[in-house]
Amino acid sequence: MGASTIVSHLILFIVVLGMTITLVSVLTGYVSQTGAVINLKQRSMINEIKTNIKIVSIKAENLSQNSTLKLYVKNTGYVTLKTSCLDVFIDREWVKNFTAIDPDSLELKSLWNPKETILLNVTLPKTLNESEVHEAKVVTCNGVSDSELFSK
Amino acid sequence: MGLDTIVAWSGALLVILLLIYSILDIHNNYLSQDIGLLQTIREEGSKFRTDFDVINISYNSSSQLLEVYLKNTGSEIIYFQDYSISRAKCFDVFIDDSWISKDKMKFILLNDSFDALLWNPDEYLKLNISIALSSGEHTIAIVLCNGVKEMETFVA
Repeated sequence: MGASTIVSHLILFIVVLGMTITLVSVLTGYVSQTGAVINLKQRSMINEIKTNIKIVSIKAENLSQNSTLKLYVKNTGYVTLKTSCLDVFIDREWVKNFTAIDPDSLELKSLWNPKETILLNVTLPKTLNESEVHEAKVVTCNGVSDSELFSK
Repeated sequence: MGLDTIVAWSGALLVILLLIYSILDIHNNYLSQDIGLLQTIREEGSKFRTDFDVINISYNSSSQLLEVYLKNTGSEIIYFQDYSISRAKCFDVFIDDSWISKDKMKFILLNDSFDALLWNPDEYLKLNISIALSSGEHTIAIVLCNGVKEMETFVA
């Protein structure tokens, strides 16, 4: 085997090695990114499965515009929820003005622990018909919801 | 056995060890998530086994005391969250849709044999509520920690 053969083999070897390293590094990137996305999605789905809420009572004394509707909602799931990203719908209409408070101390609640009940003071955006049945719906940050019918 | 053979075997052993470690690491990750899910499913199943009934309600207008007798009619043991029978923290009580503050309520386990913190199946629980009620019909709603709810109408 001559020196030229050795050099050509060496060059071929280096080229193949370089290509392999590039391929492996690119594939590793894809695999790790895909793995991370799958893991993230899996955690999000598990979090959703562990989340559950229940509207346990609704007190509607007055159904006129800007009056307060009291929704008592219990965290019946297994994860602590944030009240800042809750959504409230009355008759399928999004309600902007509501506050989440502790029903005993009447202090504002930002974190909502499992088994705890919070009071959502919802300001009605418009007057509701008192002779009809209405629907209140509460949606958590990850999309888990509960709805309940109420009337005066 | 030459030095090159030892190096080759060491390399192969290292690769196998790394492979086993990777597999175990991935499996451990999945396993811990699976255990968490199984626990959630098991606890969700306990909601279906939880049930209770309002057996009797009496109101004494002179002492403004409402006495409610409850029976655990499910097959699930009901735990008192904050380990204090007098302040069952995660039990919610509503009278005519109004929230009853925890300091107005007292829970007393009746016919309890040995475990004062557990409301076992078939055991009775007495709930005393200090409240002023007008004469007439009222509704009481009791919600347990896991969201199981019971409603009853009574006359004060």
